[in-house]
Amino acid sequence: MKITYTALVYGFISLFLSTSCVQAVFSEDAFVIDWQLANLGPWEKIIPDARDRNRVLIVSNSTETSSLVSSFNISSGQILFRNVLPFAVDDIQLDSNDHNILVCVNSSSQKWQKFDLHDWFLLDEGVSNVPATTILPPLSYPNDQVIIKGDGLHVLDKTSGLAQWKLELPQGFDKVEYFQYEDPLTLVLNVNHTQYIGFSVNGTELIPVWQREESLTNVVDYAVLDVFDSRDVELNEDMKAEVFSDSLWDAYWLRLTTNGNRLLNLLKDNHFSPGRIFTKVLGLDSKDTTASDLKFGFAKILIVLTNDGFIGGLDMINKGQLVWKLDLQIDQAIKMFWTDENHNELVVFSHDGHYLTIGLTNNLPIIKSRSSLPVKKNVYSVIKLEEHQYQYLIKFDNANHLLFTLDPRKGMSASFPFLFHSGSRMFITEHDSDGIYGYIIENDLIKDTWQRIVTPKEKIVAYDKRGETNLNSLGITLGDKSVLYKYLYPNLAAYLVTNEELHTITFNLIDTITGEILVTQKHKDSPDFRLPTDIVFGEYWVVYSYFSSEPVPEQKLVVVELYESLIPDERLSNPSNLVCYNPLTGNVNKPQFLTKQFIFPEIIEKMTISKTTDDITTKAIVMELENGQITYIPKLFLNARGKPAEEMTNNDKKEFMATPYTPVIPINDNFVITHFRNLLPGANSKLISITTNLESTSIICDLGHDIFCTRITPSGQFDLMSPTFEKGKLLITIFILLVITYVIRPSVSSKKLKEQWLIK
Amino acid sequence: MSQQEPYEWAKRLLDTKYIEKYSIQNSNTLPSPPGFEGGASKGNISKKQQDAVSQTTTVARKNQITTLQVQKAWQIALQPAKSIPMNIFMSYMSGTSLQIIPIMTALMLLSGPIKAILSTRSAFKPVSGNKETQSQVQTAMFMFIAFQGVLMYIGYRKLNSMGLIPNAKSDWLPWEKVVHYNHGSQWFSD
Repeated sequence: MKITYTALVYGFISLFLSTSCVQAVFSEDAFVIDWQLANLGPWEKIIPDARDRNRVLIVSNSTETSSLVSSFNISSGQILFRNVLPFAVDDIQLDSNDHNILVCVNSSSQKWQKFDLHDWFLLDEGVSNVPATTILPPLSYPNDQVIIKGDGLHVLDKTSGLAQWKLELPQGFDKVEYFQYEDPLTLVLNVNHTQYIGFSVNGTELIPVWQREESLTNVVDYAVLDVFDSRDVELNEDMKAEVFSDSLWDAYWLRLTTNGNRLLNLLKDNHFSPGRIFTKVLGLDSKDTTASDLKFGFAKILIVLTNDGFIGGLDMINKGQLVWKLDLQIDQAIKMFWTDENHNELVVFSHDGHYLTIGLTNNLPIIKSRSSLPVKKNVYSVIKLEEHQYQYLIKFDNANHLLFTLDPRKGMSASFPFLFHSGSRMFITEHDSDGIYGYIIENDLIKDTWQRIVTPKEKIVAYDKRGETNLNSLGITLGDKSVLYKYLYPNLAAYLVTNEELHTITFNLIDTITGEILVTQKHKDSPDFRLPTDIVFGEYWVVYSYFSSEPVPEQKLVVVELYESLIPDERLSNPSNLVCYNPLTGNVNKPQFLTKQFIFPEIIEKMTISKTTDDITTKAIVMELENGQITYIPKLFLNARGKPAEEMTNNDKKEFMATPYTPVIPINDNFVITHFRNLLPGANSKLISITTNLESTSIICDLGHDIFCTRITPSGQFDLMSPTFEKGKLLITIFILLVITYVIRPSVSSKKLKEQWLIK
Repeated sequence: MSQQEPYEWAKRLLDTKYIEKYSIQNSNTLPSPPGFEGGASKGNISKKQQDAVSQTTTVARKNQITTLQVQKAWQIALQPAKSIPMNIFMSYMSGTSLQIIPIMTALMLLSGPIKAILSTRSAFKPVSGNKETQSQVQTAMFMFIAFQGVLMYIGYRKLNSMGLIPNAKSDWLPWEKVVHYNHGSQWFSD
């Protein structure tokens, strides 16, 4: 299903982008292709809602700076409303005067907030002078009513004290989380610390009504596992054979003959009966989406690793259903990597210096090994060195490094045993809020090369490296058919530095081999450092966001595009073999850049670039907004070469997808991919983009407190047949035409014969 | 009906002598139409006169033929020029959008003149072979080729405006080589 003919695809892209409303989230797609795991996190405190016996109020997921207070339907297990409070809540009570008012308190700092329970409006807040609260029924279950004997749970009758209901305790039972005797009788059990099961009475039995899994909150890392599809193997073999064929013509001939044979086999299998073939072809687009999901690469297992050391596999086409879960029993997991290309084994690193390998053959995870790093220190970050499959560079909290080989035996027998020692060098770039550091690894030794340390008043707030993309075109074709060459030097990173003293934010582009700053630009419009900033680095462009407070508070989006030269048709890099570019000798040409600033109506929390298999589809910038929504805008809108519409010449307008410069980018409701979902991304969420087999389609996920996934098509679904395409009618028409030709043929030939006799 | 005399014409038809009896007027003795003193009126004039006349008329005739040939040659040469304004107008009106009909007409504007130029000799065959007119016919031929060139240029302009002539750098961009900056070295970042 891959279309690699760039030109064809460009044609389609232009066609579909011209009808850009096609990309909207329509109601039939909403809640169908997207799914969300709305989490609460481990419950810390429950109080009944005095207004309704079915409802409770839950405090969960407290961190130092935030807490989650939720309204929860205890008899159906549904979240009614979630509210993030900006401080750690350790007690909630109802207001003593009005039971419609909730008071949330942090007892150590005496911070409190008062909410109206109907609409969750903040009524009042303060520090100290905590308002009087009503003490509701004790939160722990009454011992005289629920008794645990052996592996059974007994609910006793209030008056007689005899066992009224019995329940066999589920495996891994931890405690009774909540019990309510009054109608409706509700019992919530906590299993394995993170699983909650709600029971209610059905006649004489207690039966489980709902179940919640709260372990997969606060995701720190992820991995994607493709669901095995036998057709993939066939397709891969075809593609491999085509790649290895001698010439283009051979490859084409190969494709022609294989497909011809397939057609012949189809005919043979159906005994050359047109009726059978017809029904078979019609049956191909069955309503069953599983086959197409597999074929298009939507069927994937999203493996998430949480801070608490849980690892879970989520079925991406099945509404994120939990396929499997493992408790790794580690504190503060930080990173997870595939150790092999076939995706059979994962390695997980934890903050305290442990690492685990997890085998994933047959989709069943097993912890293969558990050991600790040779150096007993807290791990700060881990970088996988791609070429050498088992090597990782580990940075500790005290800035020391360790070049760690996961399995030395495997490392030696890996398929690239000599590459590492053949004089090839590995350059590493790391960053933290104080600086950017360059290293070189030579002969298994890590050496410092350069450092960019910021002053104490400065802070690095955002960093992104140039992502690896498939190169489809060396330049941008302008309206007059001249070319602006992209700056395609790969070793680049971009970062933002805030300066509290001067109230500026500075963008820097750095050559990561030499540490040379190539581009820098400073914004003096008094940026607000309390609000989020982010940066993304595409093929030859960088987009970053920050909030400025002057002249009016505004979310800014800045695009920087890098070119070899700003003069059309001028190429400064020399592709001939005579010139050997080496970043270390400094003979690499420097970029020239164009920049433009835009205003965005919402505060942008995080950004990412949509990824597709071949990078032919136009890129979209996916943004997580502060209000918990996720939206995206095509990169074409953020055009650094854009001119106001009235200044555009005819030639400018001729350029492919030329958009005039509009300084304010509106949010199109159709591009809000979370539509009316309530998403809590959390502070450290990850916005990711995963490729599918369809070039047009990219999976977007937001992993954090909640897990949300959906699919976007930034250039429209150009490689998927529209659902209104009437295959049946088309086939019938062809069939009828064939029949007509067959019937008419004898009469036409006799007519021809007659003509020859009569006239000539 | 059967005793009736046969028709007069039928009798004459069967009578072989009749044709000999019939006096024939020589067409040479017929006077020429007014203003026509060509070879057809030879029979009326004496041999001497005839010679003198024939000498003057051959010169006149030759001159006439030369002018006629030159005229004809220029007619042939100007034929393509007549279609130039129409073609300019048509190619202007059909726009630059990529559609099969304008592309076909533009391609025909390119290929037609080539064919015409290759068959210039045959086009000028009726007027060639005369040594006196050769230089003038050649000029006409040259002009013929020039006008065909103008037609070709219109076709070229049309194709170029549609972006179908690969004469810009962007047309050859996919064939340009990529520069490799990292020879053996690799770069990783967190």
